[in-house]
Amino acid sequence: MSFLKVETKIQKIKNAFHSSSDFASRVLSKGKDRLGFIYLKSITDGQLFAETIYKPIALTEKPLNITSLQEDILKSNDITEIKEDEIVDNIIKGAIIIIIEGESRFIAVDLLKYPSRIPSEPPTSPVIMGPREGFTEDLKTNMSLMRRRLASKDLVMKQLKIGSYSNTKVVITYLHGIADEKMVKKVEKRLKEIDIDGILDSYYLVGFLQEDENSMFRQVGMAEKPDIVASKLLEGKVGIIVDNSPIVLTVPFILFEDLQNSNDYYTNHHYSSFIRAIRLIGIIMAIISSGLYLALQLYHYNILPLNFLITIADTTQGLPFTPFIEIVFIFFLFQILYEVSLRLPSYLGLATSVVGALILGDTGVKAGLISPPGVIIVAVSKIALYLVPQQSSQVTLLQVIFIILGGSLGMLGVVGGLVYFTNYLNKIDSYGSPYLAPYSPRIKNDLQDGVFKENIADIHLRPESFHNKNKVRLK
Amino acid sequence: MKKIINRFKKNPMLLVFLVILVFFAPFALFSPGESTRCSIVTAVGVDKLGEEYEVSLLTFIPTANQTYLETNSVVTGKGKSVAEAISNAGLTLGKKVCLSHAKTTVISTKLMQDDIAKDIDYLGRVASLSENTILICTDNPAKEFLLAAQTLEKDIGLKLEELISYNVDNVYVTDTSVEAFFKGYYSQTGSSIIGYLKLASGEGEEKSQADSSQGGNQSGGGQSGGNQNSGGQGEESGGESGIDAQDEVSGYSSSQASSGGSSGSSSQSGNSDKKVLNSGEVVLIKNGIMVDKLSTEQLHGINIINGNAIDRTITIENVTDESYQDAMLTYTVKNKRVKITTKFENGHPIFRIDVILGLELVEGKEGETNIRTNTELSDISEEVAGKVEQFLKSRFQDTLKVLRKNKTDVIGVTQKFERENKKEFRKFLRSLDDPDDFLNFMNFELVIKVQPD
Amino acid sequence: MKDTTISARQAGMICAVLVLANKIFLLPSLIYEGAKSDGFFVALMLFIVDLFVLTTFFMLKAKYPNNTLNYILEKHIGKFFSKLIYIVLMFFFLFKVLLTYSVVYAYLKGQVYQDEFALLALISVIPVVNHAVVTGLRSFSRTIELYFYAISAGVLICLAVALVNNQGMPYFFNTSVPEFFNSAFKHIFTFGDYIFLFLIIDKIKMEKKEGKQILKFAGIGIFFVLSIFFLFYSIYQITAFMHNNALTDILSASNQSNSVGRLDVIAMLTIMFLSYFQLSIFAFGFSEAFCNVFHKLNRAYSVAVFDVIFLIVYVILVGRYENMLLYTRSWLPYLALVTNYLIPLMIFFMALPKKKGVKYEKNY
Repeated sequence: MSFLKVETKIQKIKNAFHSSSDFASRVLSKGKDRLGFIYLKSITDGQLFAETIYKPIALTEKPLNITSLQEDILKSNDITEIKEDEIVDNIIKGAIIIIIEGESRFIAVDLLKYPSRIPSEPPTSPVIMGPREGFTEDLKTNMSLMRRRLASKDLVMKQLKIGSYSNTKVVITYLHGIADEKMVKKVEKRLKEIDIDGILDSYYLVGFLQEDENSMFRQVGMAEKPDIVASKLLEGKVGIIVDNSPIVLTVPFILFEDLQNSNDYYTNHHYSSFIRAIRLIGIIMAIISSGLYLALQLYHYNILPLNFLITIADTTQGLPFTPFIEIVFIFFLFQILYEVSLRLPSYLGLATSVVGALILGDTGVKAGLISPPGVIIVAVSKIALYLVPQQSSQVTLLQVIFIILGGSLGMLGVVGGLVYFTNYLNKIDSYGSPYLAPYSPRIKNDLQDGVFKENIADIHLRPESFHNKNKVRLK
Repeated sequence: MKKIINRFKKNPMLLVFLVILVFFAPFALFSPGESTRCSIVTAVGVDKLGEEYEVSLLTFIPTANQTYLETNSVVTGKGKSVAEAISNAGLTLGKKVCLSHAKTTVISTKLMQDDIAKDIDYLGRVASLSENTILICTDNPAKEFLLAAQTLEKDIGLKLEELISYNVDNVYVTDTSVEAFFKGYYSQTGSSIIGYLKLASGEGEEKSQADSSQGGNQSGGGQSGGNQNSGGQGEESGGESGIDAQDEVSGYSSSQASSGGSSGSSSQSGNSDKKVLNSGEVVLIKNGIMVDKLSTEQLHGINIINGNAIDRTITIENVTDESYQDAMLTYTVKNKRVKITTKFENGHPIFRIDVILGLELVEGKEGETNIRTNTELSDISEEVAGKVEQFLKSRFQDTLKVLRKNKTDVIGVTQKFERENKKEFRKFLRSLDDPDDFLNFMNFELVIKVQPD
Repeated sequence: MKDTTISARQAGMICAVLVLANKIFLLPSLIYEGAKSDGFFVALMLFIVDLFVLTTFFMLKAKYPNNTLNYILEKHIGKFFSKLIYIVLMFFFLFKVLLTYSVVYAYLKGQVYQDEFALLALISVIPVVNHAVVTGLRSFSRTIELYFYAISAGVLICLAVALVNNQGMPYFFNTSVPEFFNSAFKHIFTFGDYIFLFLIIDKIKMEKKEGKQILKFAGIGIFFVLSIFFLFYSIYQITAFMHNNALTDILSASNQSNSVGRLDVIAMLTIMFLSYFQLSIFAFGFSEAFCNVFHKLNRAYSVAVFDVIFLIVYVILVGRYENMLLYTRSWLPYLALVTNYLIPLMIFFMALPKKKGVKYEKNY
């Protein structure tokens, strides 16, 4: 093939790409030297190509061969010498391939350019005081964001490629000397075993990383901000950065992590303790309040205090629906409004909130279709859900389950559900970390960063809930 | 199919959830709230008509309004036993009767001519009725009382249970619950005390008011201020609203009359003008039978030795010392310490009560002019102390006379002796012809110490 | 193999929950019928005996830190007798489950659910208990650990309210000695729960000084029960026989009719959580004994067998809780004599250290 003409070679490669429209090629003849350039227009930087490759080659007086190109003319570029069978791979990665007539070797110059956005504050984890940078879809940017926070030689980043069509770059990152090597190997093994056509977002990997794949509860941490991931790596966890995804995964994961918020670490620890307690109460309320209200109304009106009972009895008098149907109706109404407001453009979102909150809620009550206590209970549980936005999907499912349990079995069903789910969560063992740590089982050291958070100056040890090698965090 | 079975095999709880969803949820989906299936009873009244019991229930009627006031109605049922009567009342209501919110049980004093323990035994045992349900009695039939009580809230914004709990906390200061009755009933002495409320009709009202004020004067004006207050409020409110309420009751009763049959009826026989009147009296019960009624003053006599009963006023007259000339002074008891000791002297039991009172002068009259209360001048002279002591002692003796007469030990003498001098006390009881009458052979020593608060 | 051990702390909490089992609902008023207020001392006496059982457990654990009970029994008394013991224990735990279930059911039926709800109760309780047994000791002891403080808080609130309302002392020393022991004998089936610890002896990870943890929590449990007994008898005194749920009744006996409101919801939730845990523990005891009798069958089988036997016995034999109470006082005490005293006594002899040759230290 080395004796073939440049044009023929280009045509051959073009065929491999099924004459894709973004396939581009140039041929440069200079004296008797003939050079061919091939690349994909969509992912390479055209301007850079003209400035740093085409122009120097066109203007040079020197002979054009592999050695001169590599060591002299294009020296400032990111050059690799490749063989013929590596051409396609390199083109896909965003390289420009230089073909020299009469040579069997090729030069690949990395000029990858994806459209990418600047790191901005992610919508679900904003902070009042603290760093606002969030991850972007660009792997390189994300890696550099991590490097910036953990400028240490011990920050290891191992790159894998997953997906037979997507060829997505996945980077396993951890702190050498802190993270448990066994765990890193386990994560690596699991990722390497994946044989899938494409990975489009980091969430694709969650199902493969979980110990209990079928579980309703997510066992992999998700973070949108480099400071959060950095803090998790410092605890000995392993991060998984996936190209094209602004969400970085971390394992092992315990439920309590979602109750912690990066804001907690950037404010007074007394206040964070208070907020965490509120969050905990809120999330418990979100899960059980609708079911509990239903249980009280259907089975246990005798344990309601009289004054409360009178209010409920007065307000539910004359409603066309039974309590169960009423709560289910309000619940679905809220859920529909939520879905709608997510999908609608922001200017229409305002309209839905007006229609939803004011018209539907208020008029529903006034028309005698739904009762005010029912609306309040469901609304509270729906709002409290977003105290911990990462868990909102699980909690919504739990709400439905508890509504059914409370409605059909009463208080005994609600308590039974609580015991069952706690048992179920206790069974989950996320990479050797108990899912409900540090409370079940109680891990004394980790209570320092539990609901009641201590001053950062008093937390001397890394969490024991996770396997890590180096225990001391503060000397 | 295989896939589905596998799925259930993987997670059997899914199957359980499905069972709940299929077999339980549909029933629940269409079952109305418990408040529509069960009635909310806030007070129970027990009467006896011949051999039959008549139970009246003060029932809350849910109304779709935004005021959240209690709208009540009285429903009655008859039966051979209390339980049967209650369930018959349920027939009238068209709902299950649930007593879990009943805070008050009213029985008529007529019922108490016989052993009431067997009448209210059911109420003491039924699980849904709370242990702290107050037991009170009244001279009129319980039904009439409840009919009068249902207008209380409309008239003066007072719920029956609030009125009664005020009484229990501040007037009786002893437990007058069903439970307490049984405690006394099953005790050695078989005596207990329960609260008493009056019903005063429109014309009788002034009379009873006059009565009570007269009584107050005679005894030196020692009536509790709170008492008169709430009683007074009840009297002030006119009869109009009472009639309104009556209309409602009659409307309700007419609607049930056709379906009622033997089950009973909600009667409204001419008591629209009757009002619940708080007279601060209690009834003494011996072995389930009412033996006497204690007036407010006599009740006060018991409460002298009750450490929890404070905030009472003591009015003494004709005080002449270095500060006052022939003055009438009213003191409030601000704090009180009571210590009771028992001992035997020569085989004779002695029940000694040491009371230390902290008094505050709240009002004083000297001759015709009023003296302003001087808070700094809180010193209590010997004269005043003596008068207070004398006043309280005479009150206690008055009460003791009643207790001795009726052989009712409601001040815990037996308990105290049983605990501290069990052997000697039993020996002492054996030595008596009538051990029940032991109060007459017991010495009471009341030592009162008065100090400024 | 997956690690299934539990910490000493969790074992202690299991002890506390076990101690509370059955004893704080109906028992005080039942004992009152026989022993009057001296029921307090009946409970105290039976607890002291139980503490000896606990001591035996520590001795055995010290001697065989890592062995299963099966191994220890087979080593000392052979295969046949050890199986026999397991069969007896199987029955013991089965009837414990039945008793707990009956008592709780009676309470819930009377005070929480107004209507008959037999099916509803079964469907709420059995799956949860089964799941707890299948997931194993480790996860449900962790669950107990999570809820333990909530349960304690519930009990403490009941105690505190009762203490505020309490205005006297129980009448003690009113029973004769035979009456006292008779009523103690009648109720021994309700006690003697520490036998459960022997079943899981190999699964408790205990350092040398961690026996204190178990003792601490067992002590908390005993303290709770005795306080409830004491307050119940001092509040109700002579009417104690009329009240058949001590934990709720000490709450609702408030003098101030309005001030407390309906606090019994706290007692109700406490009872519900406690019953789930107790039933799980006893069912696990059954399953553990079952697995040791039939070595080849796994836990899932034991759960299935448990469900079938439980339902059959419950429907045919027990039915009403009064029957169960009758059994508890008529023939179950004989079973309890074996499990509470005979077996621990036997184990006590097994736990005795081997005689070693007497060594004299040299004195210079």
